[in-house]
Amino acid sequence: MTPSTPVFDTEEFGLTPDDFDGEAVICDTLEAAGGLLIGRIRLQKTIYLLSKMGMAAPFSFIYHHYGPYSADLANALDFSVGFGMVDEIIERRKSDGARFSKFRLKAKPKSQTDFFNHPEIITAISTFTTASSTVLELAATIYWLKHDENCLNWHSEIIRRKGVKTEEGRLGKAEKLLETVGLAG
Amino acid sequence: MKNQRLRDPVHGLITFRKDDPIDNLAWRLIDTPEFQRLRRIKQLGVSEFIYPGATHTRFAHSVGVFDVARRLRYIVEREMKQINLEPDERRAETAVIAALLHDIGHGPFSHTFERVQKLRGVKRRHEQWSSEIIRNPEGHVRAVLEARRPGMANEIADLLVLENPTDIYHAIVSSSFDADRLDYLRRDRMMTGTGAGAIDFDWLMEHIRVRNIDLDAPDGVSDTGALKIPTFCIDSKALPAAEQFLLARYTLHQQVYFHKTTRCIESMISALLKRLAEIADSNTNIVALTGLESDHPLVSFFADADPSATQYLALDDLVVMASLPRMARGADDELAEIADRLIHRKLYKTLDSRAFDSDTQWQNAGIKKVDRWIEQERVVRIKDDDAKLTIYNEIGGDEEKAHKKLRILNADGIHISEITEVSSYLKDVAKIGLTRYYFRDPQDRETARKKGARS
Repeated sequence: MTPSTPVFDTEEFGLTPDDFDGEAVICDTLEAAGGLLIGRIRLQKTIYLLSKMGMAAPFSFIYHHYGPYSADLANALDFSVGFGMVDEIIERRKSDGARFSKFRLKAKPKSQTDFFNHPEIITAISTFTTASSTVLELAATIYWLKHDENCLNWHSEIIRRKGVKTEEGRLGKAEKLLETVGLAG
Repeated sequence: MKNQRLRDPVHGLITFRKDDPIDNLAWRLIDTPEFQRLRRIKQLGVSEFIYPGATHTRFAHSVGVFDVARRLRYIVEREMKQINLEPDERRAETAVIAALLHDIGHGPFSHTFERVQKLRGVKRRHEQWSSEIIRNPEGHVRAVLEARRPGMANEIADLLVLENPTDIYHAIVSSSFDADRLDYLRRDRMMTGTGAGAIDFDWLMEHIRVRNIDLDAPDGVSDTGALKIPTFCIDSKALPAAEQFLLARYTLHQQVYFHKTTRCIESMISALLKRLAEIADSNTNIVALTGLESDHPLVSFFADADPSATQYLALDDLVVMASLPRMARGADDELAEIADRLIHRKLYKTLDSRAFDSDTQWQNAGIKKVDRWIEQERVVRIKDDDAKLTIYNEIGGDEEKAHKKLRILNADGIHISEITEVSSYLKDVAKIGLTRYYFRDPQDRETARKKGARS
């Protein structure tokens, strides 16, 4: 936790904290993650799964290549970076130079949530930040298939869609991750 | 079948040889009603309102994709021989035919229709419709495929819904240089008449190589086992051509796909179809409200909670356009008004957030102020904030797919680099993120412009 995160001044732009409800969710999540999250996919899947754990979030999700994805959330992230609440740091993977983003919290709008005051939520966020991006993608996709698409044969469906990503124990790890955070049902 | 030929403005003469089993199969598939329907779906939807020459169809594009896929197949086999791997005839055939059929599940106005379905909360995407159409036991496509080889329909459908590559043949259907991209970029550029960007097709094809890449999303958090898959990359000798290829794509998005008038018309068609779906869903007074018969293909599709492939296949661009005059005479004011506007090209008025200020922060603040005002006053408008673009992505998505990133094979022939790492041109290509509003009442646009302006 970083309790001393500076407050973002919404009035400077003639706006109120209520105008930043989406950005506040991102900033609260980043704060609960210790001020840093790595990767757009991780941020999307973390907030998707937290919303399923009861976090109020003004985002609607659709299915995309990496599983559940919210364009509203992507826009709010762009705004968070644009307004200077969040720093986006670009790095590259050593093996092939592929770019990825690190998101570091700098300031946050006032928010009223006490969702992150519960130890199990902090534990869940720690689980999301330490899992591999692929396992997190699979976990979010399992939840999506079961509960958003109401897919009864979700197991064969996820193998059909994700192919090799489900191999070498990754699907099992994803199921375990959901169990750990209480979303296995 | 005898030898068959099609003339194509992009690829020239496309031949289907009587003694080639894949050509034979392709020709029979092209002749099915499901494939012929693609003649009635334009590749660029309503772009012809702005670029009058852009009337080319998904049919022409799909045939072009088949032609490119055949060439890519031989590149795959050339590269496999380099590493002493035997070509797999069956996988090659599956990939080339999947390329031919990759667009068979597109709805009317393609992505516009998909947006309507998303707004309605429908989870089925066009890839899933492709899969259902190919597997449909009552369909013609399945019969042709199964006659060639039992189980082939499922193989093709599985390949089209698979999100991640399993082998190098998959790269023909989905990769940085897949057959789809190698056709549509050239075709759209030619048919719109946009001169910007150029695609050195033969040089690129000559320099395609195959190497293993990491499939996991890059994020610096290690996995226990790195996931490697083979895909296309480009020899460093063709780096300038690869740069031009990506820039051509970027420019087409800027000038064509994201054109404000195109996006406005697409948004209006979305609003029209969404309203029609709401009325059909409610199942009351449909005929009087919409002006359409109760068994009209659009009504039939939207009224059914779980529409069939047959119902879906009854929809195309022509069905929508031909229904506009009747919808314009329907009793539902909203539906009638949009239909009438589309017929007479009386478009909503566009406001781009860049009008608020030159500074991005103040543009974003303006968007928030306008959103608040719209919500408070219930202003009739359409907001479009989906037009986003990096050098790779079109819209949405967390990241571009790993296997769709363009990689360059370094001069050592071993190491690969993501192109933005080695290209001085592409390193600093700006991300585009457009937010536009389309207002029914021009006065509302002026009010919004003032509300959003930096004060």
